[in-house]
Amino acid sequence: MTRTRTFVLGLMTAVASFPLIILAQATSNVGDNSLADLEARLSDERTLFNVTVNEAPDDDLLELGRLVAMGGAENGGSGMACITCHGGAGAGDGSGAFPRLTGLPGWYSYKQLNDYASGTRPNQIMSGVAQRLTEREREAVSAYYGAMRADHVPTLGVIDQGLLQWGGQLAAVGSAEKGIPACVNCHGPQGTGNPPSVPYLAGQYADYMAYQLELWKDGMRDNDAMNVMSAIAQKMSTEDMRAVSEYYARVANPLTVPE
Amino acid sequence: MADKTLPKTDVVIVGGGWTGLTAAYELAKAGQRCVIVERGKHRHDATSFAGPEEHDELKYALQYKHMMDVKQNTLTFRNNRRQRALPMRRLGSFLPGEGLGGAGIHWNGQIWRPLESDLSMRSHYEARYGADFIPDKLTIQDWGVTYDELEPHFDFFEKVCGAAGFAGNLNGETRKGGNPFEGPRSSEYPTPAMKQPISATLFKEAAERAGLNPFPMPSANVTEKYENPYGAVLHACPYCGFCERFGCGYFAKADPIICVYDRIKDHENFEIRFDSTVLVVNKSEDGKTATGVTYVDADGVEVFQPADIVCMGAYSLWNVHLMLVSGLGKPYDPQSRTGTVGRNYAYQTIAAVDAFFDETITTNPFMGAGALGTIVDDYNGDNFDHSGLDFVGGGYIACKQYNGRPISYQPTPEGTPPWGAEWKQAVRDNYLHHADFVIHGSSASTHENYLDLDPTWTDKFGRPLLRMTFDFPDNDRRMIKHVLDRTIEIAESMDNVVSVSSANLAAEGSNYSIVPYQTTHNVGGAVMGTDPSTSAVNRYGQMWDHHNVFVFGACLFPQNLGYNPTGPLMGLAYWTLEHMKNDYLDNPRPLMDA
Amino acid sequence: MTPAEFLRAGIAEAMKSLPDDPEQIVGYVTALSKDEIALGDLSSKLFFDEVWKLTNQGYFADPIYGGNADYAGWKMVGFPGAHAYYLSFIDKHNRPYNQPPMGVNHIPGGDGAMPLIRHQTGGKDNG
Repeated sequence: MTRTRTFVLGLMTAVASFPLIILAQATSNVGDNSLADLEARLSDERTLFNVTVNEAPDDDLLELGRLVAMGGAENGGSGMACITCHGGAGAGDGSGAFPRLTGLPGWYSYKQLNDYASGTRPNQIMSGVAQRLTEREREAVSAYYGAMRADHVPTLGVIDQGLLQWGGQLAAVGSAEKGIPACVNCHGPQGTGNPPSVPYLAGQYADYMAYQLELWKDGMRDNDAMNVMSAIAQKMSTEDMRAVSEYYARVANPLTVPE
Repeated sequence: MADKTLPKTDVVIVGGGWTGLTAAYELAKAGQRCVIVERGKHRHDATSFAGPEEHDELKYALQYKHMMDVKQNTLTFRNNRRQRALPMRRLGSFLPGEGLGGAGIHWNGQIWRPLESDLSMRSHYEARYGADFIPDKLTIQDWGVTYDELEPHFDFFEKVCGAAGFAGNLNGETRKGGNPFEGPRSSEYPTPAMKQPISATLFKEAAERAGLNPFPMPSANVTEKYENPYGAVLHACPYCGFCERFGCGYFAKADPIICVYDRIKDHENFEIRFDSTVLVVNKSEDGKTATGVTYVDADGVEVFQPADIVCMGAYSLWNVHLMLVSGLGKPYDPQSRTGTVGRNYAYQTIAAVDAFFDETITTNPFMGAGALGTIVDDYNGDNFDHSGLDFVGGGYIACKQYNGRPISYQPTPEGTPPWGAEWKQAVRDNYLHHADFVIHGSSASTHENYLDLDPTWTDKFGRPLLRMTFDFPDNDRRMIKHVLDRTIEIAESMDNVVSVSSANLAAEGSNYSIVPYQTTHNVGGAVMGTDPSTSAVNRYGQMWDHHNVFVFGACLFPQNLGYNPTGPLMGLAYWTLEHMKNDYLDNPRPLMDA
Repeated sequence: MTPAEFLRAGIAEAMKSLPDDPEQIVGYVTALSKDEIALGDLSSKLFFDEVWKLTNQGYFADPIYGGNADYAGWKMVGFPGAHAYYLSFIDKHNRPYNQPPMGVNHIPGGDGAMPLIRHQTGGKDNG
């Protein structure tokens, strides 16, 4: 961080509204997600690339992202704060109803918000949320969550080992019989994503992923940058989708958890 | 003598690559029981070619792990008859395949049709420039089929592959942005043209300023989700830069496994035997037909597989080798110039240009695909006036971006030392600021370029190795120089270019060497035609001397055209299969008179 | 001679005439490359070509092969490595692509190398 930016940040913090500071502390229940931590992380070139949407994020953008996450926005707010469902650090509540946002590539999250707003990715709740955000706000909150770190919420329940093995196999080598390419072809080392356009699967919630695959298979979701997911999902059975989702939910993703 | 004999099948097919699998698909669906005998092993795009493990330059691009193992199978080579041929101990100039899908797995995916004039090169040049224009040294011939006869088959193969491009001639209507010289297409390409990188875009602009007609290279790296006529689903190419020499784990590069094999492998009329090498095609007592093939199976047992029909679907060189060791047709003798099997072997004539940009142009060379690039076809074939020139043929110019794989992709400007600190600096400075051109030229056939059996070296089965005798004819040296000079002119006129250098693999004063890579476009040796004294195969792909032996592949070409051979040879394959299904099967006999 | 035999013989011969002074190495290697050093019966140019080829491969190949430590070779030129997925980028002309390299065996946070097993010279392994 440059000296000028340190000064500006100090000034901002000093004159920022009192409630903002309190709220900021309240949501950082994981100790290393202060603004200073986020900025420090950006000095790692991989994180910077992961988080960058249009330009490299600066303090202002991250601060705006935090504000948006808490429900504040130019157009009177989205009515719902991201943190309500996705949590201040993006880890959500562990149910799988809402995806984990922590550490997702900034460009990917930004595209999803645009697609929600335009209806390209249909979703009753998220469309309204995204439409009420300006483009800058979408960029800001995407960069913010991209730079966050949060522990994984442990997966509950027992899984059949055979199903888990099958999921791992599909993930690593795909299926010749069904013509399914391996997930790892595109989804990065150990499913940790390939920014900017490919999200991680490792550590994402199983139920969320399985549901998305069903949506791709049905054609209800068809907004991936490569237009391959619907073709791949159409070759998968419900069991295949469950297998690969349960597998990836259990794969550690060190890029998105605190050091 | 074979150790065992199996029950007769309708069709036995040598080789499980593009032509063998396609023949099996079409004939199986037509009710014929087909058996493919494949030398190599089973493999599949999902399990054998998945990234990231597949994206290993050293293993696959430089150690050739998907390709033919020369310790097991090779050939001998010499430039001319005055030399003694020696075995090829390392792959280099050409890279034959191995295993299910053959070379169709690791190909670039460049998919072309011949020009109309390519198919009747002899009569076309004589009509336009006079009967004496082609020198006697060159044994250039007409193919015996016309573009119009083959058009539906080119079209079908392009649909099987999901070819990506922009038609320049759609049913006779010329369209700007496509190839104005191509023969008429009955339909647009199945998927849209590939997205061009900045280097190709700057080339396109320079070519247009020069009054030329650039267009995107036709590509079998498909550009969107696509379902082919056989029901195979292909996915959009991610421009990963691990295309040629690799298999495609993305299901984006059309290959025989996903396009054909997956769609026929469970059919009741289809069977494929792996790890089985065909030793010989067996002939009847009177020699007029083939009775089947003898092969060595995975356990080392010699098996005779009788069949009504034999299809030769091995790689072009090995088709010719098999004919020679089996005594099919009459072997060519360059001394007496009699015989046809092995005659008219040809290759491809290659030159390259490098253009270096200033720092304001970032090319990201690692974003590539095997068929990514922009083409200028104005100097190919007879697309330009040869009057007053001292050569026949031509080639296309491609500003291409296949890959930026760092062991091999190390462009440095002329004058850079070949190694050391200064070299390293130049590699670093130029990696992101370079454009790559190939001049892909035709290859005329001659009396002296041919294939036969080596008198000294044998394979592990005791059969003589194939011997290749080849050097570039002077005609082709003059041709490539002409097109190379045009390419340098365009490169020098491109925006932001600070220097240009070139390399000519067919320069005057040099000999063809099998060491540096050029192309895997070995053609001829079992030439098709309408005259049995100059062809081994008639215009339907049927051997003159053995009417139940059908031949597929680039071995059929009488000489090589400027384009890559896969599109033309698959058009011929579908043409042959159509005549087999609709004419030959009900009435087996020679389909044309000599 | 197999390539392995050739290299071993070439190395043995070259060690005999290799200068001790590091300043003279470049001159020596240059002479090797021009076929000017006597290496028994072997062509020093052929030897140089083979060694250069292998060195180049080691420098730029995937780190699983033991070279290109911490992606130094790939970082030098700007090659992103084995996880290659560029459809969103191919037509965004003139945009530098700054994703750090990831090899075949890349684990997040790692250097993509295979673990090396080092043996002690003389004496027992410490296990």
